[in-house]
Amino acid sequence: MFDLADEIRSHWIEHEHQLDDEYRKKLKGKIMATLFWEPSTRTRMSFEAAMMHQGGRILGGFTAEGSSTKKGETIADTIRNICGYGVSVIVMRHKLEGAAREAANYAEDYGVSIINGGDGKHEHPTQTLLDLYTMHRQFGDITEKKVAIVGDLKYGRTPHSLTYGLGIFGADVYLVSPEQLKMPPEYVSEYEKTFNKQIVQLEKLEDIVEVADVIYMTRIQKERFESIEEYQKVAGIYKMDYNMAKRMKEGAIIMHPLPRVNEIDLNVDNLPQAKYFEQSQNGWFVRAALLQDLLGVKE
Amino acid sequence: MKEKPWEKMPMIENGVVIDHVPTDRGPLVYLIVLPYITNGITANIRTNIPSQKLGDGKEYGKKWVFKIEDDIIDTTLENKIALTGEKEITINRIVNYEVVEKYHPELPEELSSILQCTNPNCVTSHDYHAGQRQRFKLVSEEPVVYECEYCGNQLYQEDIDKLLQKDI
Repeated sequence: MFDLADEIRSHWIEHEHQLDDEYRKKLKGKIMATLFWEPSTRTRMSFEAAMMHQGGRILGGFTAEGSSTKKGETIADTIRNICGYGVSVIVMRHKLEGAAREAANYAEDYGVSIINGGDGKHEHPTQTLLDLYTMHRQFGDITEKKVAIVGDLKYGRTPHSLTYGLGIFGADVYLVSPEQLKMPPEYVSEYEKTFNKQIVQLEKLEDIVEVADVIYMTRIQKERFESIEEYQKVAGIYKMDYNMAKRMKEGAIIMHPLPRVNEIDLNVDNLPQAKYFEQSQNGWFVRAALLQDLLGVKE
Repeated sequence: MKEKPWEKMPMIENGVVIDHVPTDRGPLVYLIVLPYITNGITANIRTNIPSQKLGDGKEYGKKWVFKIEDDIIDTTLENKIALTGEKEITINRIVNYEVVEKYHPELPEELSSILQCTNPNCVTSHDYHAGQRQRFKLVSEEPVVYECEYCGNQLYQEDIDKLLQKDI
């Protein structure tokens, strides 16, 4: 998939941010429905871009507020209806954990693929694909690269998926968070058992900044806290500023799934370590490759 | 201290003996069995009987024994007893005063009843259809840990104990 994403990326750059006719036919006749019960900028837009650049079409316009979910319709019924409209793939995001799994239970009967664009604080697997792709582009092999995931590791779904993904690729995981935002033990034990490696858990970013190959900053997930008081106790606890970035070792990079709030200062953006906008753009290359793969595009 | 001969429980003709229930887990097993024996079935339950098997090699342990004059065992009851995590518990099936079957109930690898996800943000806690399709897989026997197949939330013995008592 990374090779395919590389191919699409190179083609895009060489052709002045266009894909030629060959690519514009790849997903011709395919329709992707976007069901976002929760807000999204990058995930939805990059999937839509990936579809449109390859000749596919979008069945969009769905929102939680404007749908029958407000009337109590279950995920099963929503999915069965949408599948009946001739879509090939559904990208969805939901506030409830396991929602994509529930959708897949029913979509399977229609031969429709479900892509989980984030379910509550559970998982965000396609974010992990583009995160790994970004690391792969930077380092090639990431075996034993030291990746520090920093911030809200309890409520953030991205760190949960990324930890497992890093395990598959043999990277060493360092988790940096305050006590109340530590990664739930099931994700830590899954990594340690599956990959027979230990995760190092820290509370201070300073303790890892000079040795990490990747500092992966994350936003504190304000919307998932039970009270504003709890959020305020940890808001702004980690900050990547110019001086901190300058302490990083040569070749090391800063990543962020975005959106950011105040975790990374603006004056870090132009440093060579800052890869988060490139990371975000990689999202559509990787998702374009994923859609080709899922929709059975043959060479 | 061994059980004295005159303290032995009366034999049953046909039914089930649930034996070697550690004393501290007796009340939980009682609550599990209770719905099965409220319909005119005779049951003899004895608490705190000395048990060599549940001892530490030096001193006897203590157990509860349930003698029930009916074959109340079904898969749900077997699973519930297994979910207590007490591996020493035995189920004895009795026919004509003879033990015809004796076994330790085993933890099911997968379970789609009895347990409910305790994650308040799990789709099974909010969505009617998803709630009817809950499934858990066994990820560890010691300690007992089940994982929700939807959200990955893990249920530990403390959670399972509460769920075993929930509908009683």
